[in-house]
Amino acid sequence: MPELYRLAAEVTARLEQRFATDPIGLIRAKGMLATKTGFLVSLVSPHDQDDPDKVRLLRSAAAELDIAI
Amino acid sequence: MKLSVKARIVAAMITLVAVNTANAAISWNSFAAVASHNADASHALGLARDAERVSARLTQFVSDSRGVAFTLSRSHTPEDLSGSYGELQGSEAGVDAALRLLASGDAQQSARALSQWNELRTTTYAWLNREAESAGSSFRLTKDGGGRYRASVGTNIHETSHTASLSDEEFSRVVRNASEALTGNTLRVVGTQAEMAAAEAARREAAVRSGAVRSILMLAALGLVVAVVAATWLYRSIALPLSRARDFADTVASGHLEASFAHHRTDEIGVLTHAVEDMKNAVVRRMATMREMAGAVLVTAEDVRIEAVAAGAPAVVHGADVLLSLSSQMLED
Repeated sequence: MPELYRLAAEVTARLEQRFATDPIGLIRAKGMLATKTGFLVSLVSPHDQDDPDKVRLLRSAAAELDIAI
Repeated sequence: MKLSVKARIVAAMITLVAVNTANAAISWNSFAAVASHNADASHALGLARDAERVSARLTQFVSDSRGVAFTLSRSHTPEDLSGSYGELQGSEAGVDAALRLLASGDAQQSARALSQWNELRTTTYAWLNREAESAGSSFRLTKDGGGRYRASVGTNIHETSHTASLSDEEFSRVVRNASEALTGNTLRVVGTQAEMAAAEAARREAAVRSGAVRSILMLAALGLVVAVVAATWLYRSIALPLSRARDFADTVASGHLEASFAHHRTDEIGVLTHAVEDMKNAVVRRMATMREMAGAVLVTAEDVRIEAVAAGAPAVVHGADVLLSLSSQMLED
């Protein structure tokens, strides 16, 4: 499984867990993640090849949202 | 047993056609049997009419023979030949020819005429007895060496018989009575037999009709049961799953994207429901992407607005407010 897809799935799961009762907050958090990384995590597919830059950006954006991965 | 939708429909149609074919075959055979019995009855009535005609002919020949025999009793006297000429009532052409020869007075011709006359008499008796026997009545007419007639009369109804040695007058009376009795009895027998044949034919026809109606009703009931079973089978295997798939599509269309549709079939219905489920999942993914994009726009607009307020750019602040409003409306929708 590609690293980028694994990280995107984990971040999404952590955010959905954090904002389980606040759907608007979940969308704002994902929107913030998108503005930080430059791509939409929901569009990351298991068939995509790994991109080290995207992995680095995703890790950095997750850290800003207090998500340790 | 897993069957495709086409196979289910074809199987139901074949079953219904088979039941209807069996129904038609039994109906055809039943009505053919009725027609056969009708033909039997018509044949029996035809035989009765034939027997009636034979009886009429028999009556005529008995009358003719009586006249012939009465004349024969006197034919041995030459002077009676001319007197008996007018009394002869034979219906055969041979009788007339013999009488013309007798009237000529020629001894040789008269001898030959008498020979022919005897032959004709014998033939007439034989014919009369044969007709009586074929009509079902025992009737025998003979003449002994002393010139006296012997008649034996009986019928197949009363089983009576009568034998007598008669003079000419007695013979004429007996023959007349016998012929009348024979005719009456024959007609009675013929009529009775015709009525019995007609009654039996009517009884058989009624029985066959009743059996045919019963068979047709039973097959109709069987066809109804088969039709109900086939309709139920088609409803449960085709109409009901389609209705559930339609309800699922309506549920998804009303915004309940969390709905799911369990399906375990591999036929056309299974393919259709699987496609509906895939369509719903694609819509869910697309909605998630759009919401994520709206969230990104919202966050960016907030950051831009903060920077624009700090920089004193009211036009940019207004643009950021518009984006915030639109993205918020989209997320709340």
